[in-house]
Amino acid sequence: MIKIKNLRKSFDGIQALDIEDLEIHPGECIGVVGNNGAGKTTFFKLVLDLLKPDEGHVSVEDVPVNISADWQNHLNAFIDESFLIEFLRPKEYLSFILRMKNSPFDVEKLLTDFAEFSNKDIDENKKYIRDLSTGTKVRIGVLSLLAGDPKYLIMDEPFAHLDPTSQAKLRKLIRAQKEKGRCVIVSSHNLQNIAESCDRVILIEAGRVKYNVEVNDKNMKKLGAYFDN
Amino acid sequence: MDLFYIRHHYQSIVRSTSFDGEVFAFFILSILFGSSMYYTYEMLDVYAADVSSFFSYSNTNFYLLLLIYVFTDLMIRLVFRRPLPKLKYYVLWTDKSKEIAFQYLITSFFGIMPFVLLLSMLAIALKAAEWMDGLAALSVVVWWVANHFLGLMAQFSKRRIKPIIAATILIIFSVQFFIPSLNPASILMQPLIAMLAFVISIYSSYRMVKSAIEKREINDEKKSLGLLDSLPVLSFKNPVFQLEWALLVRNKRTRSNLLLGLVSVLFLPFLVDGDTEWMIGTMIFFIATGFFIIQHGVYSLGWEGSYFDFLITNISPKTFIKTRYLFYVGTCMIGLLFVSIPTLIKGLSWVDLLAIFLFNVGVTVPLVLYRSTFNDTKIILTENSFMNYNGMMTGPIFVSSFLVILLPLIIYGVGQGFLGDNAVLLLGGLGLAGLALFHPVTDLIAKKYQSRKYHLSHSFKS
Repeated sequence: MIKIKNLRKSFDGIQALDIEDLEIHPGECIGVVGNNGAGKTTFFKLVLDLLKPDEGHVSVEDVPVNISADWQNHLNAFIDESFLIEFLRPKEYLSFILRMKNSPFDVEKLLTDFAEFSNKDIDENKKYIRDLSTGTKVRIGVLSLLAGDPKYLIMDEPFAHLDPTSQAKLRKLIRAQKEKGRCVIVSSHNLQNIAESCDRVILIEAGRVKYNVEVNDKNMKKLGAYFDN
Repeated sequence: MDLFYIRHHYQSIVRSTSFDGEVFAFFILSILFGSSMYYTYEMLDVYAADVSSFFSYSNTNFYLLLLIYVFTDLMIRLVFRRPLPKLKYYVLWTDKSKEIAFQYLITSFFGIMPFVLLLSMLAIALKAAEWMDGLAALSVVVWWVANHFLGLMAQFSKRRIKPIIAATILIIFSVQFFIPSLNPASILMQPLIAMLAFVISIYSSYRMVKSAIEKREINDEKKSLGLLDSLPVLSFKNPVFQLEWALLVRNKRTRSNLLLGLVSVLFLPFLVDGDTEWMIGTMIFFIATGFFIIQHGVYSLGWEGSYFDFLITNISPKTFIKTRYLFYVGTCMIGLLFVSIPTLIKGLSWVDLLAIFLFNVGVTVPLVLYRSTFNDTKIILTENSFMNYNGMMTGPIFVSSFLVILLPLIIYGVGQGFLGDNAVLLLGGLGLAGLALFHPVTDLIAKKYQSRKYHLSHSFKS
């Protein structure tokens, strides 16, 4: 379980995140929504111990993330391009992560998954990641999350650079993770993607959790109305 | 006239994170180059006389040497492509090709290296001003400015045929005027020829840049990184080693650093012999066995700036620090291997060499790793390293790097007070102690790395 308690972070005196109490369990698919600057990425970075909280703490499987790096065995994340090693080829990058995670050496399986995911051979031109399109980079980043059998997967706006077909495949991939008992936490500006892939949605407004509700027609309409206004 | 390009260029320089470092480097290099040229003038003159006698010209003066220097510079500019300027954005925004080309030519000249070289030439001209060589040297300065613009032409020319033809004609036509024995009237012709070269080169490069802009022939920087690109990543058992190797050989910046280091390893030890001062000998052994720590280690973590978030969320600090430590030890061993050859040939002291090697692996490496947790500027890996101070020259980092390099000399100097000629054993002893404390020391560095990671992650993004 990911447990968040009294988590607060401010930048230059402006409150960026303020979450009293939040629990996230394996097997859940959670969508995080909110306007630009609401605090979604700050939330992810605090969970990943990339930012130091002013107050409170985050623990993964009862271990505070700032005390021990054990959480890295349970949680994989892809936030932005700084999570990719751009001078590696995709296959090398995936193989590197698999080896770091002490995962059985199944790069070929991951590449097959990628081919299904993106309708193309990831390694066809033997290009380095830095020479690939942004969409392909996102696909590689998302695929890298599957390495090492993690319990939790975090993705920050993975739909943003994907074409509609790939978005549909990503939604399918997220649902498949839930069936495997994994927890996926994904942020998006597209409510449709959240509605079709998640079972709970958290709306962050000015750093605070405004709604933490189940995904159903009524709640999605309510969220839609929130953004329309 | 709207000086939009110059204005933007100025802003991009001043707002760059490495601006202070570049200003610092500019002053240091200007002083070093300028003063060394000024004070070694006599030496250059003697050397030029030797060159002259080699060519059997009895009265050829030192400016022949300058001329050779300028021609070599021109050849390098014509042959080697450098990254094209970021002109394409301006081309998309405006169709004022004349203005862009004009302003580009002005800004292109205001780099650090052109100024430094110009100053060094002026220093020679100043030194020689008492006689006619001064005029010749000033002519060469003007010609060198022309070189810059001819080089620019080569960058914008697809097959570089026009600039090479222009340079060849210019050289054939004008070289005779710089060799008095061939043409006694040359003294007066030199400044005229140089001015002619200057005017022609500026006009031609202006035409070429303008034409490239109009034809939209502004290409991106060449993406290929050369032969080493095709090297497979070695199958080290430890994947972090694998990553270190890939970082090293697949990025322009790290690779050129490595090559520079290797040059110093191959060249420096041959300067040592039995009569060498202890200070110079120690420094040379230190640099030669620790070349990689100096070239790469002091900027550690800056190299990882572009994927730092990945690093800290996937590799534990202890694993990373210990692997990097061992990686640097490996490079010190390679240095030791290279230095063994001149040590063997010249009968130098093995004790000195091994003691300094031990000091490097036991003291310098952990010191450098600890200090690297303060490197908070991301180094852009795909840019060339020559005269590029991105991530390298922010004041405190530069000073502390210097202290790391001076440390063995200080210890050796102090040790001489009570150990005499055996002071080198003190360095070896400290190195052994450092190695014995490998685990506690690396744990301490990992702890520092852990506490600094928030700041580093934030800094590498900005």
